[in-house]
Amino acid sequence: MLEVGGLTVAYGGAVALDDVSIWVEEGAFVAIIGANGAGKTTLMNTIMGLLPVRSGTLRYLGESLLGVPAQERVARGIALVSEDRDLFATMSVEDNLRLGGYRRRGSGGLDEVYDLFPRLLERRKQLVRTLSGGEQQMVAVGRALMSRPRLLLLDEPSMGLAPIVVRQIFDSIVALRRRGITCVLVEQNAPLALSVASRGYVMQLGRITAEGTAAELSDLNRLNDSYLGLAV
Amino acid sequence: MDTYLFLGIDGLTSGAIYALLALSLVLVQTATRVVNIAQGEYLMLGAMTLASLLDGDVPPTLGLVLAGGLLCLAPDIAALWTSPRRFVRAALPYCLLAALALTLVYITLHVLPGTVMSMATTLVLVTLTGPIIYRLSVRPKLDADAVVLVIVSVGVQMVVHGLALILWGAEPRPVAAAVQGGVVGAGVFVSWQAVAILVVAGLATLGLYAFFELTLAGKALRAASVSRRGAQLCGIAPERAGAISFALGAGLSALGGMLVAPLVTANVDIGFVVGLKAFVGATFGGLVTYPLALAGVALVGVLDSFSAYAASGYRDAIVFMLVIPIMLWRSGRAGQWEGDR
Amino acid sequence: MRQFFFCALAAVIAAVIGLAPAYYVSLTILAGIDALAATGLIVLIQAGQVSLGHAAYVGLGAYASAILTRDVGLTPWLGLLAGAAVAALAALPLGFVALKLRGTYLPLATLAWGMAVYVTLVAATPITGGPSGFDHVPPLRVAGVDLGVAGGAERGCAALVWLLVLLATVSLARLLRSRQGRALRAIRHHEALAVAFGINPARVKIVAFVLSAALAGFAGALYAHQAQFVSPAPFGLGASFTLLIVVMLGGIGHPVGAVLGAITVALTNLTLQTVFSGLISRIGPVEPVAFGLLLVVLLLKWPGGIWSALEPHLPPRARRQSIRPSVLCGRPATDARKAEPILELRHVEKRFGGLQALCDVSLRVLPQAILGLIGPNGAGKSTAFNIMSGLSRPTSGEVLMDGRCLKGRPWQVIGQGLARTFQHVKLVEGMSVLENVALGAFWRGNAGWIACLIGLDRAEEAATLQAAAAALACVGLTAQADLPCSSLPLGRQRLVEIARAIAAAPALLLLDEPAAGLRAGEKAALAALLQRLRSEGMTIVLVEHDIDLVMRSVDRLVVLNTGRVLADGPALKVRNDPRVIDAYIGAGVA
Repeated sequence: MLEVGGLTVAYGGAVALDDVSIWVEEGAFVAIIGANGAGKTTLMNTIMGLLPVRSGTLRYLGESLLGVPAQERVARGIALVSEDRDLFATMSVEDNLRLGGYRRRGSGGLDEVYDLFPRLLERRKQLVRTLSGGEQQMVAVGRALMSRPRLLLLDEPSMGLAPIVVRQIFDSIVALRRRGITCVLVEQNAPLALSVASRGYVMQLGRITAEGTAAELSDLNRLNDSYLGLAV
Repeated sequence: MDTYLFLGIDGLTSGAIYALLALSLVLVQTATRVVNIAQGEYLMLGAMTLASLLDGDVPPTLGLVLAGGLLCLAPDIAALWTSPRRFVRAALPYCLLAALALTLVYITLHVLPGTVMSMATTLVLVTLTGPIIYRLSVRPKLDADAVVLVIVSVGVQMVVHGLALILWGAEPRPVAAAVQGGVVGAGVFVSWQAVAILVVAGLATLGLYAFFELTLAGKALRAASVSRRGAQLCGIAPERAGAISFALGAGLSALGGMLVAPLVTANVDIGFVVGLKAFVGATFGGLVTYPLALAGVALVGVLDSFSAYAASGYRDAIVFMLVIPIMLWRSGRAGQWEGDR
Repeated sequence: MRQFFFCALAAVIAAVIGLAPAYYVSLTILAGIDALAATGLIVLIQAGQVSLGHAAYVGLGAYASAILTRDVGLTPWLGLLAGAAVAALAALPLGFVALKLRGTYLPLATLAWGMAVYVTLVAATPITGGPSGFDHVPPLRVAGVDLGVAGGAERGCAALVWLLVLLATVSLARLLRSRQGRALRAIRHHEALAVAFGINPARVKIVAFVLSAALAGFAGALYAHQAQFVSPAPFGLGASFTLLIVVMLGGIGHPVGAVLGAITVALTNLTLQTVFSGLISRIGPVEPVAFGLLLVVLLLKWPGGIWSALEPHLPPRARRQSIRPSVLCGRPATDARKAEPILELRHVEKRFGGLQALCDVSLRVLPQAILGLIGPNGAGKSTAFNIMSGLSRPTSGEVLMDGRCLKGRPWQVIGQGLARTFQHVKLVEGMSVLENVALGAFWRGNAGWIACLIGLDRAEEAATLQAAAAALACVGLTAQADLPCSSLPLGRQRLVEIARAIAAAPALLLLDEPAAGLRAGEKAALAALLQRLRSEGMTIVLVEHDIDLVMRSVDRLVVLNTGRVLADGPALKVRNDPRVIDAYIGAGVA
């Protein structure tokens, strides 16, 4: 469904992605793990169309995405839950969710999101900036789902959240997998990511350094090397 | 006591003049975070275009719209050689709008002259100038500091006002009131025109409120100015949102200009004069709320009357000096995110 | 040498004044007055403020001086000073207002204020003569010659005006290069940076407003005595917008931009009136349209103005003295204090609204050691760092520096011995590497505005630059001292930030993710630098994500997780603590 080939992205004078290639088949759940600064967010933002590509290919459902503006990619069925969430803080929960469905003119979808996140139903009239971190994350995921995406990109949904809240969010994400939405999950928390994904890639300093099934990557030593530096 | 009542009512009718412009200032600010110093010029264009049409002349505004549209299309002209299909797709909306403008003017002048048709055509023409100006002066630097955008609007004001002076000349043009006559209350003559303006302003406030608070399209416009990235992630094109906001603002101001023209005599300077006072009124609501903006212009109008009565020359100075304490008050209340988008 | 350009410019102006026909000379007088007022506006913009109603101050100066000299009998030379003073006083409230208003509110406030002043000038007929103004304003006398329009001494007048312009340009250029100038330019780009290095933003902004208004008032007074007539017309909003165009056109990067802009505007006006006069008489006044277009195009495409196009072609400024840096970098700790912590956090809590960012955090930083502060994303490292650097206050708990509570306003923290770097590099654009580093030494100097304007700060400046050069040598970037800081790669920019902090001669250095975005070689250099600084007596706290770098550099490690201290001890021990490994790679969830 998604093919990234030899992608090189640079900004601020530094090369953020260096010859990155990944592929995601329809219905799959792929994790991208790696330490901070590895380029995972850059990859997500580039797939979404928020960053320009220096070289390489990006194909979605057989068509090239290069040059297609981000808002059009939403119409084609890609949605991103960004690392910063980019919510409309001064607007209500329900407004944020409805705006997520802006391109899908048909109403509905709101009920499904409330089913997934009952807490949002309670708080639907509240301004987003008054919500806790976990609740804001739910809004972000819900808003992305409102556009009925075929490909969902999740950038560090667990960041800054207490373990219990993370569990809730990931339970919902697992439920999504059952609906057949293709997911790409970026996480620093490797076991968490690998527990829900079927396949994964490891990124370091803008490159893919490892690739395999979730089981293969779960080998702690390999991760340890990538994350915590040289073993003593 | 009678005097105060007299001045109060007189003030409200004066305030009415600024009302619609103040609303459009708030609109443009909330939807694009641009404080548009040039907003008053749309009011002027509304008044002058109506005057021209009622006099049976082709309004210069038509020329501005056509020329402006051409300038907007200019970057795409290169595509004429490389990809004709792309050029046609880009040029099509412009051609359609140009055709619409030309047709309307023709109909107004030759087929169906009269106040209603003239006002409709004026509304369309001036509304079109909004997105054109947005495209040429704001879009190239969407991410610029808000302060830069303010200074850019200063430049726009100079250009539009200068062009108007060249195209229409300095002579004022009388415009007949849409509704003649008026009523006398508490010793003050209140023209129906003024009442009409207040009614329209009230309706516009309700309409704007309904649009921005209740419809998804309105919320999308607001969202685009709150978080550009967020809007993109929802499939909303920030540039289109900005253009639409400018169109709405231009239209509202033009409506204000058409209604105000009979009261203050259309001339190319009214945009500036009315604009500044409307701006003072709008700051009363921190440039973000409509009802307070209306309250603000009412206050300005009343102050106008009182000062004219008490210490004539200083009246404008007092009004302008009010801006700073009002802004300090709003700044203190709303905290960071109001003046600092 | 750069001076050639300025001398050439001055020579051309002198030639025009001396040789051109009288009509053109009188045009140069007006251009000169615009230039004088515009130099002040440039200084204001360099401080990050803007004034959309600046012509009002010119008007106030003109009227004040005219009234005082005509009706009260003050000599015109004192009248000039009086004009400047009145305008400065009028700008004072706006300076205070500028501290409270953010974003678009400030320019609008300046606009409204300018309008209010203008309208008052028109309205106060008994004092100002109303819309028609008044004449018989006494001229300035130099060497027995009346320099006013009545006396016909245009050349003398022009010479005086441009001499003053020269004086203003040179002094202001001097100011911008000096200690206060660095503070001013820092405020514009990064107020947080300025505060962290001891600069009180309120004071800088107020002085900027007052100074720019004083210059404008002075220019106005000059105009009044030259024209021997004042009326409100030249001081309205149109004139304010013209001043804006002058500075945007000439370039806000250097006070000479005012000269370049004023000359260009005058020439453009002249051209429009002579060459295109036929066009104008047929269509109408095209000047506002032309200038409006110019303003819009400049702001969108070419915001640096003429100066920014010219400057890259000029030879760089030669530094006056050679720098002989000493190589000692740290502050050697006395033996007596070896055991006492330099910085201590006791039971610090921090809450933001409903969010508990830090909970019961206690740690101690021992002298001449490197402490690493690590933790997963969202653990509260940035919050802890901001509290340690005095930028924010804990909700409860204590922060002790050298045993004393950290107190005072944020810009007083550096005086208590703490210097920091920033996660997103905050170097001031337009300043060279050395100048940026010299900003670190701001708090150690005390040259005031006047001293910087007239050049009484030479000795202190030399010492400051020496200190800056020494700090630069510590990080090994002596060769890059005169380069613009934006030309350096990220790794070196981070080193400049560290040098800047060293230049403040702190007891404790706080580094905020210095390795972010660095390549392997740069990280190795950074690690080596940290070791060297420590061996010379510096104490360092390092917040980092790069565990590799942290392990190579630090002695002790504190690990934060969800706002609490998870582990605190010698680096190796903490690194191998199973709880730490858990927190980092993640607790198993499924």
